[in-house]
Amino acid sequence: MRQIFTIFYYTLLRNLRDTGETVLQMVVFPIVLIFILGNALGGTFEQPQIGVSEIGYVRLDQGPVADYFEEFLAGDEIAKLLNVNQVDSRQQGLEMLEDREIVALVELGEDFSQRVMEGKTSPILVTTHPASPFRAMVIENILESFIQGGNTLQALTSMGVEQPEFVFAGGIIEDKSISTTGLTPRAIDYYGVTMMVMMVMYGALYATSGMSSSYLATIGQRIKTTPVRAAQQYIGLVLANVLTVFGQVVVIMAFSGLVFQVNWGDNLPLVLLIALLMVVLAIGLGTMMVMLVQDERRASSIISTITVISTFIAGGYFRVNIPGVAGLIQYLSPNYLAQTAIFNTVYSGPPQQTIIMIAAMLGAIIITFGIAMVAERRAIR
Amino acid sequence: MIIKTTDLVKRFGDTLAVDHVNLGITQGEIFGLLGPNGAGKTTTINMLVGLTSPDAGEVAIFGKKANGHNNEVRRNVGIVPQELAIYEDLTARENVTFFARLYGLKGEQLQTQVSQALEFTGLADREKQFPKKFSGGMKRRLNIACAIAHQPKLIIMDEPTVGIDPQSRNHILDSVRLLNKQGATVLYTSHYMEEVEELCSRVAIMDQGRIIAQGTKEELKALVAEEERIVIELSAVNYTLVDELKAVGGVNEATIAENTVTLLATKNTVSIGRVVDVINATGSDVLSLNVEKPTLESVFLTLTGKKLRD
Repeated sequence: MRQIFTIFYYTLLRNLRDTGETVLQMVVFPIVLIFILGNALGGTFEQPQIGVSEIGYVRLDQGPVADYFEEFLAGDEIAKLLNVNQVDSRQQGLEMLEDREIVALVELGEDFSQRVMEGKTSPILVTTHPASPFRAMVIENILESFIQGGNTLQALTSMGVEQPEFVFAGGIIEDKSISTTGLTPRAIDYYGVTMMVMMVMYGALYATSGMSSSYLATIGQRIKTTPVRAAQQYIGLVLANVLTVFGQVVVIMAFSGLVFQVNWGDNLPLVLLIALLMVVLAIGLGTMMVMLVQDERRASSIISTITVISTFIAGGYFRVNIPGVAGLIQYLSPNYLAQTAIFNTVYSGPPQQTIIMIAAMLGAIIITFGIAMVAERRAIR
Repeated sequence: MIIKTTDLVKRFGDTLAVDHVNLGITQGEIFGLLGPNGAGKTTTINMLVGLTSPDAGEVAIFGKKANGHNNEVRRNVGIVPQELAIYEDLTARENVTFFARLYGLKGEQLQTQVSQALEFTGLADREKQFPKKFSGGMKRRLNIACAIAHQPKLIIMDEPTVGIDPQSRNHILDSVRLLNKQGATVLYTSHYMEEVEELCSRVAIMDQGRIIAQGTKEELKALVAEEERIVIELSAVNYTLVDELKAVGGVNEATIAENTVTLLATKNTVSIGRVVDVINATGSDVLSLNVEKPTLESVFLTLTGKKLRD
């Protein structure tokens, strides 16, 4: 353990002393990029004003839940987004939809209230016009919040809560706000994440440089003649490089958060954990590369090329949308894994996707370090 | 035996880098491994210290097989590699401390022995400076300090004086003698014949992966000492002199180049007085006369047909 600490400590000391070009490249450069891209490309990240959507509403049910639903639609918050047009029949509503007078037709069936009260599935039928997918999505989200409110009510009832107060207006909708503020990244938020992740990828160069000089080259050979095992030497170097790059990540996050107000979300520990995994992955990648090619310069060139491609595929420079099966190539980009996990965490995306990304990063870490170890053992001695 | 190798072999592809090398180094000696660049000295050392696995043969250090990782053996060995193996971005003291810690030193013992190593190599007053500010000789000395702070019983030095000024070279040679006096056994490799001649009690001469001769300096010289060279500088040359000198008993060959005559003679058979008389009889004066004894250089030349620095 002392041997690992000695190698860790002196490697870290050397990394920290390397304050010139490295700090410029690893800390100042990403911060400048966040500032420039975040401001220059701000327009492409602005969300369109949603405005008021015209919808048709057919009520065939006369029960109490339908009353609640109407009360819900009449709420002040909803009125800012939806203008509800009472329609007598489904046919009339479809004609209005066809004529683009409305963007969606919402319909409550005859036994809607009855089924809700019996605890059965009771769909709210929504028919949207294919020409207005964005508005359709907005309407579906609003209705979703009503359904969730109803489900909560049912759950409380089933748990024995008597006559729970079920207020549709205001509260529930505020919780499920469809306002875009804070829920989608601004340019500065977007580039705060992507440039930080890109910098971490460049952190792989620490591994190529550190492993080359302190493991493969003369000093590394000299260390191998001491009573230090190769694994201890390896672990000490990796830990020091991981901590160095992670320290730079923290500086970038703190600076961009405090000065540029980059949104790093409410779950900072998870964001930091994802960043740490990305750092370990990048160091693994650098270590693997230098062990495979046994040449620092070649390994560094390959890492630099991979970083550019990986950042591009992940939409690090500008958002890219790779459609269909080809889009799966994004999963090969370490940047994509980390960015998606961070964006999901900050902007309340699907937790399953975050877990998948973290699992993929862990898998990649195991693979890179595994290949590095095999390559090191196979190297001609 | 501190080091014993038995039929050590190492190949790199088609190249036989080390060819059945047998070495025996005893405690307390300075053993020289002499040979030109590319002779296989460094590969042999790498096999001794476990950096390279031999294809065949065995290495024993302190009587223990040196294959694999043996901490007990490693703690008692100090390596001075041919290439500088120091960190430019750590101070001199930090460099020495780093390696001393790896050898297991700690606490007060660590600080004391690091200071001693820096003192020993003449770097104590520069201990807080970074090696990038050092001369080549100072870097070489720091390279040595990193190998001796843990006070090893065996020090292996691979060409420790390559590319440095005479002053630093002398300092290093003095250091090696002193380390040896303090009890360390030293394996010293070099392609500088003068250094090995000056330092070492026993020598192995290596060429093209093979040990071509091994023994004390005197034993090696005796291998080629059937003849001696007598070099005489004259005030003037008479061209009949060559024939007259060849007629002197024991002289096998005589050549003239400008005002210098060189005689090749059977060892200890020529009367120097008789040679001088012959020269004086031709009306010439002897300005200088030198009887050259065999050197390791001439041993190498005789055994391999080439000079050490070829």
